Amino acid sequence: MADQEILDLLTRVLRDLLMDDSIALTMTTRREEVRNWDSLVYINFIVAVEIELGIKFKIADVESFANVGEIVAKIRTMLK
Amino acid sequence: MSSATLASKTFDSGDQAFFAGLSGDFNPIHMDPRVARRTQAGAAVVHGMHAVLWSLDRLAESGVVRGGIAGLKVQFAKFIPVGSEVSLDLGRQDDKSIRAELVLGGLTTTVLNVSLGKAKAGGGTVLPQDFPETGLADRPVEFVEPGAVAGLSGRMDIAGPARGIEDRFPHAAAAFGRGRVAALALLSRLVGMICPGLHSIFAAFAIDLIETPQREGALWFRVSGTDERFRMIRMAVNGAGIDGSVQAFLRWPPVVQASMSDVAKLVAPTEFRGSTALVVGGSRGLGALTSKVISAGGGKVVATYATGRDEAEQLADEIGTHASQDACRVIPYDARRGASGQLAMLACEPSHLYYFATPPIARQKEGLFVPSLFDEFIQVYVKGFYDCCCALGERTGRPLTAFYPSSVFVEDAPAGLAEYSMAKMAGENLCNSMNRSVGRVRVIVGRLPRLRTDQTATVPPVESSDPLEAMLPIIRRVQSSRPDS
Repeated sequence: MADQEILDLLTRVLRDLLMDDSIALTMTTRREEVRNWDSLVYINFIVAVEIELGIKFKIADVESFANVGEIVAKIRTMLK
Repeated sequence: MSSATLASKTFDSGDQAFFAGLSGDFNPIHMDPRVARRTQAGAAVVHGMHAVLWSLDRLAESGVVRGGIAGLKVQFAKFIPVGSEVSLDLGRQDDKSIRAELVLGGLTTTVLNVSLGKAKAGGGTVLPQDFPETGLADRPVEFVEPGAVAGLSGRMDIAGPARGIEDRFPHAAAAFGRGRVAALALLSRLVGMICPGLHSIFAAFAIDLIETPQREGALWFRVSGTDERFRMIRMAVNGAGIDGSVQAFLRWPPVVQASMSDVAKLVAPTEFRGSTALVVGGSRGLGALTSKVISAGGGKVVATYATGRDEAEQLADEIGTHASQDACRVIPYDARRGASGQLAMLACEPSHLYYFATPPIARQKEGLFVPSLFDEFIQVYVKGFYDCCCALGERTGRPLTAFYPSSVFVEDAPAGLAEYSMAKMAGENLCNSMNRSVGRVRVIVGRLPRLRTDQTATVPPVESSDPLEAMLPIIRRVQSSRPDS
């Protein structure tokens, strides 16, 4: 799966969760830059991504992601 | 996103009582400010579902859902403290759906998405008819681990809530159907009283409206999944004209600090004999723990409380039972008010001060930096500390060693804690200045790691250290230090 495809998927999941089609994630987007993407929504987002891709993140990874690009990179390695 | 405010409302204690009676959700996070203070909400908060039903009533009244409703999806993002005003802002609208938000001081607390159209003819997750009836209770069930709710199922009768629906939510009842609105109210009871109950946070739900005449009288539910990592619980719900899913989190119970018995195993009984400590903010958390440690070592303690008188008295009782009856006294003290007058009732001259006064640290806020929040922290962490030291110095004329609890966050502030970390840094600077001056007070500053207390409890797992392990060496250092040495 290419990075752009993963990014598109993350964007779609977050748009669906926050019910906001105006969200446009980039590799450098940080959580605090997206309106309403708070900690509980972040957990929902992670779980929804896991279900979509059939993967499971470690807690330490979930805590450590500094931006969307790091999530994309982690997913890329998990899908290899 | 452009939006227009449709209506606004302040939910007061009367609203809380009304909705608790209607839904059967008497969870103390909504009903008991003293208990709610020790939760992540920090104060009694509005039933999220009450806010949703009020929103649906306003949307229906305005006519924007005239074409019929096919479904509803709601995300609860933030708490609504009782007594605060929320506005219902209408966002995107098209012929398929309407998006609306409940907004509090610029923060979105709740996002609603109403799908327009007609109810489905039937189907959905039909749950077995023979699920046991879950009756009304005045106390919520307490689960501590998410795994404990696996497989839980039941059925709630909608007759009770349905009786009060049309009086309070007439427009929503007309648009959705009285039974469906009652079923939505029951979701509050489901999460707040049954699963996960006492320590719950209602996170989200999504429902379709369905026509199922044979299942109109009750709402069936079943736990469909749990995630131990995030303490998350998913449930399927079906009946009373709705079908869908509910998502909740199981928050951590209030943190119980080490008991006097535990502390006494680590402290020699005469280790702190001859000292008297004033522990500001001593009724719970690190303050209570410090009071226990010093008492266990033979020292005297005066623990202060701002609002938690009961907790302070329980602490004094626990200490009195294990040490001497007069080992711990408690007094009221508000770090935001002048110290001299409040300390006038002190019947001793403290040799040590431990200053744990703090407002709630983790706040719901809009933006990177909120000046009023910074001012609030400065008032307690800087002005309050200095005032307390000065008042004690003037009063006793005796050298005093003070402990100032700073934080590792002054070096690396997590997102959302800029004001907190800046105020703690200012407090450290003050302490340095005090130590350079020729005064009676010597201040020892400790940058504490994240420790397990009510203030640091979060639903997402965050690593935190054992408070007793972290505090014991600090207390030994402070107790052994004399300002004139």
